[in-house]
Amino acid sequence: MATTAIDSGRTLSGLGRRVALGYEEFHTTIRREPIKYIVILTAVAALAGLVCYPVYLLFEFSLYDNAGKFTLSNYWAVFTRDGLVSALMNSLILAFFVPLCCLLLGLPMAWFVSRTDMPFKGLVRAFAGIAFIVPSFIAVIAWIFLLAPNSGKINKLLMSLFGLETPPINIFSLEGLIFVESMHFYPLVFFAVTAALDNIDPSYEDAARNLGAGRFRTAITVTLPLVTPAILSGLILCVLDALAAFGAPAALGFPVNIHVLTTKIYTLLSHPPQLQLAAAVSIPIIFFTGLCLFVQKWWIGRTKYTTLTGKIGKAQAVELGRWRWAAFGFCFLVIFFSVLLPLTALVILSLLNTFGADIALKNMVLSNYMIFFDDTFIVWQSVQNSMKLSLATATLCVLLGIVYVWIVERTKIPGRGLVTFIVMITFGFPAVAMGVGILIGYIDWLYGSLWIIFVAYMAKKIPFAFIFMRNAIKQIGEELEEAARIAGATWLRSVRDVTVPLMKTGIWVGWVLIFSLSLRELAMSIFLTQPGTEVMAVAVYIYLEEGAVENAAAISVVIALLSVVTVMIARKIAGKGTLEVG
Amino acid sequence: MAESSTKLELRNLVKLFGDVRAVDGVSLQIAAGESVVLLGPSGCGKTTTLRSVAGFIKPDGGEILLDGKKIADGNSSLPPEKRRLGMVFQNYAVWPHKTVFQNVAYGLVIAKLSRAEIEQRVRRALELVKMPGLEARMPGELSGGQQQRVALARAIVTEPSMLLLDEPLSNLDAGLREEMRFELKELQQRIGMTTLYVTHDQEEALVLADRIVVMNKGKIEQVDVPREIYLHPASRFVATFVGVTNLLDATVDAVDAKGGRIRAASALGEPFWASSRKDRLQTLNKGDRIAVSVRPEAIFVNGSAPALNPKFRARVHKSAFLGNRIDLRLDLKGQQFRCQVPKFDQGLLQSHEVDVEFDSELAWVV
Repeated sequence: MATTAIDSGRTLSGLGRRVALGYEEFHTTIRREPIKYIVILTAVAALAGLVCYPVYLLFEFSLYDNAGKFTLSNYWAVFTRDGLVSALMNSLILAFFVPLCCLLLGLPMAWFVSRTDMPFKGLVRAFAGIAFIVPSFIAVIAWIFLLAPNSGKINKLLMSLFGLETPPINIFSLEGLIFVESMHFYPLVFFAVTAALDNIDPSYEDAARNLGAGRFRTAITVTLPLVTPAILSGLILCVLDALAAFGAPAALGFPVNIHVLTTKIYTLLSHPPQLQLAAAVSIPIIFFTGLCLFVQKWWIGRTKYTTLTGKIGKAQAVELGRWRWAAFGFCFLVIFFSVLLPLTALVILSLLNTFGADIALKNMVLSNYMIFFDDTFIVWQSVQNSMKLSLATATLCVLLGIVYVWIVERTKIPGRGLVTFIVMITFGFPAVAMGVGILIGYIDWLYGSLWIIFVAYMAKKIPFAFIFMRNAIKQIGEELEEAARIAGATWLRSVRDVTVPLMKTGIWVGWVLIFSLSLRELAMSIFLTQPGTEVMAVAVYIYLEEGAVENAAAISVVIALLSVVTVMIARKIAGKGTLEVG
Repeated sequence: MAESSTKLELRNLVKLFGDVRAVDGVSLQIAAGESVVLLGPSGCGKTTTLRSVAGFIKPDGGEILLDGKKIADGNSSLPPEKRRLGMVFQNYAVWPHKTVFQNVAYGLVIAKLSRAEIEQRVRRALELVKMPGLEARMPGELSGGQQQRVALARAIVTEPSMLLLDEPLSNLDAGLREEMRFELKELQQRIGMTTLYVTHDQEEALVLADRIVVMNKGKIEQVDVPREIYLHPASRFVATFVGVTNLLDATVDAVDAKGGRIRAASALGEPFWASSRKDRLQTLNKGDRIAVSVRPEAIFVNGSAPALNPKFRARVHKSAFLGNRIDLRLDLKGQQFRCQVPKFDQGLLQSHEVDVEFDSELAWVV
């Protein structure tokens, strides 16, 4: 029969008791399951070394001068020195206009694709995907080819067509940069909103129609408010990426001396490296990143409703009538300028015998690709470096990701929330700033070797692994693991027999995507590489800087192909690997 | 209960989640071969108790003894894999990446049995749960009920020292659930395994249990055989949670210790007789506040036979024909009563007022 128990724990406060219990449990479990805790402690130490240490150093360096004295002069310089102020302003202009353009392009496209009877929806989705997969430092080469003030093919065409004296378009400008980046980042808004629309029960909209609202009124008064959180998160990703982008701003800005914060950091690190100042310049990027994430969190917290996703019926497509072709025309234009035109131009450029040559079959050669097979060029070396780095990064990230996710989702270890926090901070942390931190932190030990690039890749890609592994483990009911324990399996064996096999799809998708992202990384590699440790993206950049644009184009075509193929593989795995779990 | 036949013993078990006492001093003995059901609403601590026995939750106080050996107390807890238990989970937890055979065989593989013996035992277990010949299937190809049988086979194939079931039928649809109840009962009786079963479904508990443990807010309200739980609830909570009842606030008007009954005065007017447990009876005095539980079937409607209890005039609020019975909602001096009449009477369905009388044996003091 029931009796009231009074145990000693009652005297402790709730929190104190929980910590004390967690601590005690931690110790008894270490004794019982040493392997488990060696694994966990190693992973946590790796997180501290990869992320916490460089980020800490970044802040520390920004607050000291060369002599090691505390100072705010580095920050003062950011807001007063001419070159730095204009870089800051340009970054802010980008961070405003790029998301705006992305919204104007991505939002209507998302609605057309997800809610109307516009033709060729699948095609639009697929090409929007390619627009995002192909890195912008590659697309920018095509745009230079097409829109450079004097040699640009489109400029020439327009001049001869309309008898113009001066080239009408100059891609080497802030406007050009906004255009190129918008053409790359609009899929962020597009995919965020289509995903949200696909998850909203169409009966919300049916109810509005039923009460007499027209289709456009329904779209504005019901659909739009429901997808606002998705629009916001898409826009914030655009802001973060616009702030953190390096490739396109460098390619378009350097020749005409237009700088943004990331390219400024690069120059500060190149000639006589000014680490303190570079660190200080990174801080505004971090600040705006933090601000964006905060706004997003605040907005989500403010929103009182959540859309429940249970059984989702198929949305009745809004009939656009003769406007459906207008809608497709709009989408086609976006696709044409973001994918078809630049990629076609890139392939043609990579085949031209000289940059200025006319586009004609007699000028087409394969010689630009020969640099891949010639040891005197850095290209083959860079392919090998990229492959090694990407294989290692993807593999180790996934392994660490499994451990972090396991800590967060399956244990009661005190402080496990901190693991999530650190990992998610890294996710929003701009790559250039992370690169500077890692440069400061590991320059004495690892500079000039592939290892320092590896450390940087790891630090920046762990969040991807974490997100994929977390989604995967969340699909697995804890009971599936418990059933193994009851049947007599130890912890390690239950993970091996049940958890990992069931996460297999997520593990592979995560691995391929991290591999793909690492293969084309530029923003950190650019100032961590030394002669001999170039990676593919850096090789593109070097050729571009040297003026060998057609060679840069050849390498770019290969990177673009690899990017698209790896993502297709990931999609294939994700598609067929859906086991029914539960 | 003789010490030697005790399979599982909980002594003053305590588990806290933050400051909530999820399990608050639960003591219980389960005999070998017995089937005990933990019954209670969600959040009553029944699942926490079961998971403590399984080894997934480390208690904060008290002790758990299996076969007389301590397996957990406030300081240490034997890992689940060392307890030799079988468990059936609410969501079946049949591994979707393993075949039916691999699922059932898993525990035997870990115990390193020979291939031949594993095959033989898996086959026998699948026959026992009426799923012979489906060894090669993947769980995705099975229905919910079939997955449940696989889970059951997996739990019993290792011949565990005890079988734990955590709301195993709650994910099945109503018809299948009723069928599985009786099958589980039959299986339990056939293999004679000690069983601890958690459910919030009182009918399930009544069918399956040798003894029912009714829990509320982390504590045990009553432990008894199903019949006693239903007919003689120990508290208001048990009376209302198990079955449907009408609770009436009253005061003691007279005590008939020999007859095991008291006369209760209530807002209904004339006092009436109700039964009570003997030990409870001895603590009651005239004027004490009590509650009387009157089950719907313990109310006679328009009875003609002279009876012990007075008749009350009640207004019929609603009536419904339910095939084998008539359900009446009555209004007695402002109090709502539910009442069942186990016969078809067209006149009753149409009447606006009826005479009612409480069965003095079945009206129960709580």
